[in-house]
Amino acid sequence: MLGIRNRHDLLELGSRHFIWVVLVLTAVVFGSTIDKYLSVPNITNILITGSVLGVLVIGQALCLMARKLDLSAEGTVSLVAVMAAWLMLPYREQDFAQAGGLGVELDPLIVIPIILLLGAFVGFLNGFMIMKLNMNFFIVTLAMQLVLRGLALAISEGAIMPGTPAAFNWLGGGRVAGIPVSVIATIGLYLVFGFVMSRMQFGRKVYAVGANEDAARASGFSPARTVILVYTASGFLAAMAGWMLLGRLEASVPTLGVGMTLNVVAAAVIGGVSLKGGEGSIIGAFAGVLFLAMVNNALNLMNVDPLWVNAVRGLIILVALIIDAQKSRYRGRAAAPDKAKRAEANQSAALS
Amino acid sequence: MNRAGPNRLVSLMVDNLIWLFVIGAFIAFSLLSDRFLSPYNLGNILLRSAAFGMLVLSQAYTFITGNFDLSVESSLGLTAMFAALMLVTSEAGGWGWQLHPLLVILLMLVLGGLIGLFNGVLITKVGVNNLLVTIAMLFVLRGATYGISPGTSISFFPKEFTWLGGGTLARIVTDDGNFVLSVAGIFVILAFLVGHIHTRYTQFGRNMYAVGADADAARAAGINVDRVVIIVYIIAGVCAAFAGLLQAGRLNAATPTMGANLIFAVHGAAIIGGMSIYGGRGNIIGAFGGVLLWSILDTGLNIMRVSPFWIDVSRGLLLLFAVLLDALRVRYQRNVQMRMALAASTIGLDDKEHSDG
Repeated sequence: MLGIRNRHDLLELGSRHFIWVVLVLTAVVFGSTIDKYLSVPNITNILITGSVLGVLVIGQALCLMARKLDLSAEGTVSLVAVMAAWLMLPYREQDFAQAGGLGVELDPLIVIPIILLLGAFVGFLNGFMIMKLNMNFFIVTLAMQLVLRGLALAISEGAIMPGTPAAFNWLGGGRVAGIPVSVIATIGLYLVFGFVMSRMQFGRKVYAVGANEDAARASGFSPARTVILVYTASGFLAAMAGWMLLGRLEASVPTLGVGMTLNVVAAAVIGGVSLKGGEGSIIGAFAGVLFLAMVNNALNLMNVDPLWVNAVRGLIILVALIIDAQKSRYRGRAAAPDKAKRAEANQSAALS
Repeated sequence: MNRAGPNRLVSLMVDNLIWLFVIGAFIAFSLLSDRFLSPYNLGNILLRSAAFGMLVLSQAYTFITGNFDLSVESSLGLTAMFAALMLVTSEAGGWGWQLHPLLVILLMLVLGGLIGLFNGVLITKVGVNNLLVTIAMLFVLRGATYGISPGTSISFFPKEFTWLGGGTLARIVTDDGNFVLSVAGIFVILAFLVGHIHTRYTQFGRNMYAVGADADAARAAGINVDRVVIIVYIIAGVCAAFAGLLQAGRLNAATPTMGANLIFAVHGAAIIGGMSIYGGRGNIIGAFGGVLLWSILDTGLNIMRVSPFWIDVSRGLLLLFAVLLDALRVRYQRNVQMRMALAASTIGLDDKEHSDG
């Protein structure tokens, strides 16, 4: 059924979907060593904590596939969360680093479209500056991150704004038939974007732009349009993630999302999305997210000294990467070596 | 450099745009605030960004070969904490070894180099993606910093240890205050000079550019690519250890969060200085311009008493403006090249000659 004829095909299949093998191994190892790791409440927990990361990873994966990066997404998360709380909460003097909102007390049903549009607009702005003004994507999105984070701090004056309304919190904290809404929404987004990237023309254009922008231009479509759309989607998804995170915490913290970008990029790349563009799949990125969420959860349950958690997490990721590298090496030997050469040639052509 | 044709002055300016930014920012802040030009502040600009500068130098090296090392910000923290623990008494939170400061400095540089070696070997010999290795190492090293720290900051080091980061070479007394020539500032300038000479005028430096431009071609040309990349990562690790030494020396303290979240700013400074994350482009002196620009913005905005909440916003906007000008520069250069190529081409002329004859 899968077209397996011999041992080579089996190995090939295994290495192509290697991240899933790693996932199963991780589940087996943690499941057998940690009590109740594979229980329903804990799996739900893993999925809930993975959902915000997961939404951000979709946007980042799109950018990576187009051979770009979006460092501004974590800034969008901050700003969107602060904006939403600021617009919805009643006015209150700041005390003990807690404050109320602006005092306009908008309805969540008005605020949600506002923040989603804001996120999309930020993304559009990134894309426009990068493609139409030819500005360096790394610095544009880095600068945008600084601007957005700064605005979030300036609006909130560094204070926490607790008590967002229930209707707003539904996405992040609500449940439908016992299943968290955030998990359903995240899976839904993965299905939609997975379909778009693998089955629709837009997806093929993104891969084409990522593999070789000049060739894409020569073949008659506008890379600018595609990339601007990619960034707009990334901004929109970052706003979704901000909405989700704020809904789960029920309080806006201006430092929300700080340092998330590294985790997001790591999840995407672990899931097989290449930094060099034109490679990887949305479903693979999803596996990367699951892997990180499972590791984080296991570290919590194992009562690792909080001072050492980061070190242990980093080590586990490192081990996974080393195993992954062995796989690529195997594939590199098995697959035609000229393929790598061709990719390299494309790349240098695109750069010169 | 031998650029015939269109306006050479403009070309010269366009090629050194980063220095125009630096001068422009310098003049702008001098006009906006009367305290910016005070001798004290001028002496301070380089001192405050000395550690940042060493991190940029480390990234300049890796960028040239088309690699990056995100873990340097954590190496800074770990080496500084490691040194602090070896220096102070156990009552002050250390390990109570109270080693000689020079030995400690040597050990922290060795630690930095070993971290670099580890990164380099994983990337070249094991074949792990460079971004992921260094992100994972960023977590590992930061975690280890927290793990070995007593949970708080450690302070009060011997004079020999803090000399490089906090010492002064000379103090010039003027009416407006003192101009302090800091050891750290001079050290960073020297480090960038050495780096420039090393990458520009040695065989190894040329190999670095070759690897960054096209690793396969470099390999085909007989360059030992793995060796070059590993050495570059070791250099980056040692630079990060120097950054830790400078930072700990300036603050006379080591905290577990030292250097955290610096890495993207470091990359920003290197890229604005003309480096490319895809390798083979830019030079170390340009990267130094990036450091200067960043620290002028930092001290300038601070001295103008911009609210800390708005500093990030204005820093981001200024950065955007700088990249916009840089993009215009690239467009201009492309136009110039196109014009020169057209002027040099003889296709049209040839045809005419033939038809005439």
